[in-house]
Amino acid sequence: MSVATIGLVSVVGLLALMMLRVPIATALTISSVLGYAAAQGWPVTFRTLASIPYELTGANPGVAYSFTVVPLFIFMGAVASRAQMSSELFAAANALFSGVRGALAAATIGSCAAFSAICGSSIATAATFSRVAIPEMRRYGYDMELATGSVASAGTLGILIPPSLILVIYSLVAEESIKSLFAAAMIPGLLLAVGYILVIAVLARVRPHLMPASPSQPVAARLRALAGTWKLALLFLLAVVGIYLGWFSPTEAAAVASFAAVVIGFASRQLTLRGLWEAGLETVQTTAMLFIIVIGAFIFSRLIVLTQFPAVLAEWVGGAGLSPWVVIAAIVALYLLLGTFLEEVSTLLITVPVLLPLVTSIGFDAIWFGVFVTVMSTVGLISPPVGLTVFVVQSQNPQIPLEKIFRGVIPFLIADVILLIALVAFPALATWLPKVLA
Amino acid sequence: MTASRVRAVVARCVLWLDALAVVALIAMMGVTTADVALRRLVNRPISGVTELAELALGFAFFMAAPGVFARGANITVDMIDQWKPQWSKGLKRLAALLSAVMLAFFAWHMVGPLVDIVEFGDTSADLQIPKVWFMAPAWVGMVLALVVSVVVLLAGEIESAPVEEAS
Repeated sequence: MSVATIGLVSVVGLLALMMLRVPIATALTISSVLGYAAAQGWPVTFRTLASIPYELTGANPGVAYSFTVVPLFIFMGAVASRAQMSSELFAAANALFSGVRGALAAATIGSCAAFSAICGSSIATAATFSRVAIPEMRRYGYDMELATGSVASAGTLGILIPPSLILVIYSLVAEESIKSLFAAAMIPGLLLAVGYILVIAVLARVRPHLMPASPSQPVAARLRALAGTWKLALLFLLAVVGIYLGWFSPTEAAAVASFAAVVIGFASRQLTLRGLWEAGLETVQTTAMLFIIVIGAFIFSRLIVLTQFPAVLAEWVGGAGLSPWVVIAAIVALYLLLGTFLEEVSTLLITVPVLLPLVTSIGFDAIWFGVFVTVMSTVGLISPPVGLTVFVVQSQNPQIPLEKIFRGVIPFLIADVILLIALVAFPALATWLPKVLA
Repeated sequence: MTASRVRAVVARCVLWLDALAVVALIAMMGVTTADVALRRLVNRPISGVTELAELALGFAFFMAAPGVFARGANITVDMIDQWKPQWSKGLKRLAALLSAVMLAFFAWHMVGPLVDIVEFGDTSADLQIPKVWFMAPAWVGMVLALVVSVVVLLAGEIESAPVEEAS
């Protein structure tokens, strides 16, 4: 059996194990170890693969340090969620949009976009605003499909607007600069937020019964509400802007912003010791869950390198004379398919080692691909049957049927699709800002 | 000892390990922030801060890893639960068995590099911390996760606390 065939059989075995409910980390490790052993024999496999967990320790200087950014960014978001910053943000966005039909729904999108600037997790963003925005929209008689759909969709901004956990993990897998990736995602993230608000504006015009008009607030009240968002602005300055101003490395920015979130939380009496403990617990549990998959993905990528599967794939694509657009369309289809049963981080860890060499070989930029994969992830987060942010919204509002929330996100998916097409047609949407800020 | 008593003991151990991981996380944040502040304000950076952060990461991750296996919080594709709900219990046991096999693979084969590091006496570049301190948490975490997986296999999941997903 050729090594390329071994690689293919291992990938099929990986998918089979995953479908049998085996944890993704275990499926990655077992299929890769067996594939590696078939190609190289057991002694080499033991020597090469068994010590991979040590790569996430200081035994391999530099590699482990680059991973410290992951728990620190998760911690910042977890602390900010518990320090009630989301409520102030929602009040400010609501004041800003007041007087407009659908103001609360637009405020939900606006405040989720702003919260995403300090929280890199879509799940955390959706969970936070489910608690804040949905009760308000219910109180004012909003249609429940719209209310839940807007929160589930706006939650996806958490992984697109920097700092983004998906982009951080992509940077570690693809060995690309976090700084460039954050810059690259900025314009698509803002465009998606604007797109979602436009969806609400269109719905307000064609189906006004879904959302009542809200009374306008005086300018002074709007300014006061906006002034209340200084905490978030400070954290964004430290976590993201500080990287571009050369103040901090990404790890330092994440640490300093986390520390600032803790200090602000305690100083404003919104964060308790119990809240800090819960944020820490959530962070280490999430980190452990992620890094276990990362170890599996490292082993999988060793197998992929050994089998030269991406090179064979690129050669086949080149030989078949397929245009880059056909390849990208096929990749979109693949991500949509994987998105029906796999969550986003796992999808990224499994696909990037295989697809990145192919994508760069047909002329696309690795930074662009990071943003592309993240936008595909936002689609996956709200697409049935495994729309994670939809599940989060439903878990916090169990009285609302899942189908209703999935129906609610459909109009917002249109904005996602338009962004995806724009990103493929105009790659500069992602590649321009990193060049300017370099 | 009854199965419920075993589960209770393991749950308590997992909680202590999680607490150790949280302390490491806060230490990582604290030392990095202190380094930035001292460097910016008085031009006196903390020597070897990256090594300290790496050391903390090792504890933060590997001490929390057994908890992931205890709670059955590993990310899985559970579509089959809808198609064949009657298979769910058996498949969960298969998953626990395969996870235990994976962890045994790591726990056994990670010993060699650890022993080598102890024998060679390698230390970190800046603070001269013996490298075994960086690697030992990884091995201990894998062994404890293996123990927890075997308990889950024999006695069932330890607790069903929800864990936030990360995407």
